[in-house]
Amino acid sequence: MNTSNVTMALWITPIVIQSTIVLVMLHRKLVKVFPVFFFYSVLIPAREILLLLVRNHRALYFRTYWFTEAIVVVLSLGVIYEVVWHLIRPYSFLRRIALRFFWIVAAVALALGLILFLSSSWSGQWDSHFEIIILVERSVRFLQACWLIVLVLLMSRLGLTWQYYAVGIATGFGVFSASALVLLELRAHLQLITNETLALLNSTAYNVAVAIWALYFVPSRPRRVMIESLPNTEIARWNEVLSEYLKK
Amino acid sequence: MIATIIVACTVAVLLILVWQLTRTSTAGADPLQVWEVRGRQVNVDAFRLLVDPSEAAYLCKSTPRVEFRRLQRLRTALALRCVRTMAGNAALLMRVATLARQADHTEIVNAADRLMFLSFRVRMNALVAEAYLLLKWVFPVWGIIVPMPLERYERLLQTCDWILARYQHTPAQNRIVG
Repeated sequence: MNTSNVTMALWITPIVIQSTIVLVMLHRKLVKVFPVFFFYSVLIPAREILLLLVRNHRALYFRTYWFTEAIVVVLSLGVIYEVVWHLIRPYSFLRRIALRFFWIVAAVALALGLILFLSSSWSGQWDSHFEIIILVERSVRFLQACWLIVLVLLMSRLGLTWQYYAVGIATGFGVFSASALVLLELRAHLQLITNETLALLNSTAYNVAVAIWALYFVPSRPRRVMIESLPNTEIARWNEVLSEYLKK
Repeated sequence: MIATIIVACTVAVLLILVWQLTRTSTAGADPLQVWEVRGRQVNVDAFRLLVDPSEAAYLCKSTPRVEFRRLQRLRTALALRCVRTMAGNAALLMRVATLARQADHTEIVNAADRLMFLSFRVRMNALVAEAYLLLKWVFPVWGIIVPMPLERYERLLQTCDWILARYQHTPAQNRIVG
């Protein structure tokens, strides 16, 4: 299998899988639950099909790619915010403070991203516009990664409930953000990989993320069971942990 | 170089957290079953004694300095375990409350809201208490008072018991779907 075949396979596979996710979301009426993620899942295959059609027109391809990439990156931030909102919404007492906290984190991460951007020196030997775009994307991916870190930490430290699909979305974005951040760093800052390698590895990372989303969205979930009885609170049994320690 | 280090650290932390999220996520598990398996009550009176400054003062007077430090660290470790169990219980009860909110009975839904709020507050208190206890473990002689409002934890368990008792008497069609 030569490189162009691999590239084509990596290009077409997520289109097929993400279209399946869209259909499953429509079938399970998840569009209202995760509207931004749904829109994201519709936009990406549509963009990829468009890019496939114009792949031989270099200038048009370049413009289409970077214009839609900007929308995709902003939309992916929107998806993370949607997951945060979805998870925090049941806790009315927590909503305002948690969302404010997320905006503060966003401001700090954005400032850090800006510092990362300004501190990077670009060579000027190759397409400097392209280099600037990559550095900006790295800063935005950094913000995305920070949001995901804060989300997972907040949920685990406060003991809040993760919901099935939210775990899938966060995991997929977590893996893709981490990979994208590493690749952009290797290309734009350290300049250790070529543009072709960046495109290939980025595409592979996106395939992994799509596969994770498919694992969570496509298989049918076990049917919810009606709980017939609740456990009694056995006071005597509950005491055993500390009592055992006190006896020692 | 600094940018690379920041990016590398961010990526490492993110991947570790995502790995933990997928491994430990019990999103699909029934919290009531988890409560049956993992739910443990803490002996609140014993915990009070463990963090009581007058108990520590008595121990300080009646034991040699080295022995006091050893005992105080042991007491702090036990108290820390209690706080972690309380925090774990509160997290579990938060999930029980999330389920209970789906019930048809307004009374149960209101109680579930109370349970959720109390669980959250206990969880926050436990975080603070944990930090204090860690400090106390490092400096056993330091007479620091651990801020853990235990009446809140007791009220939490009472609310949970009330919901469970009410739930046992509700007709089958009103029961919570998990």
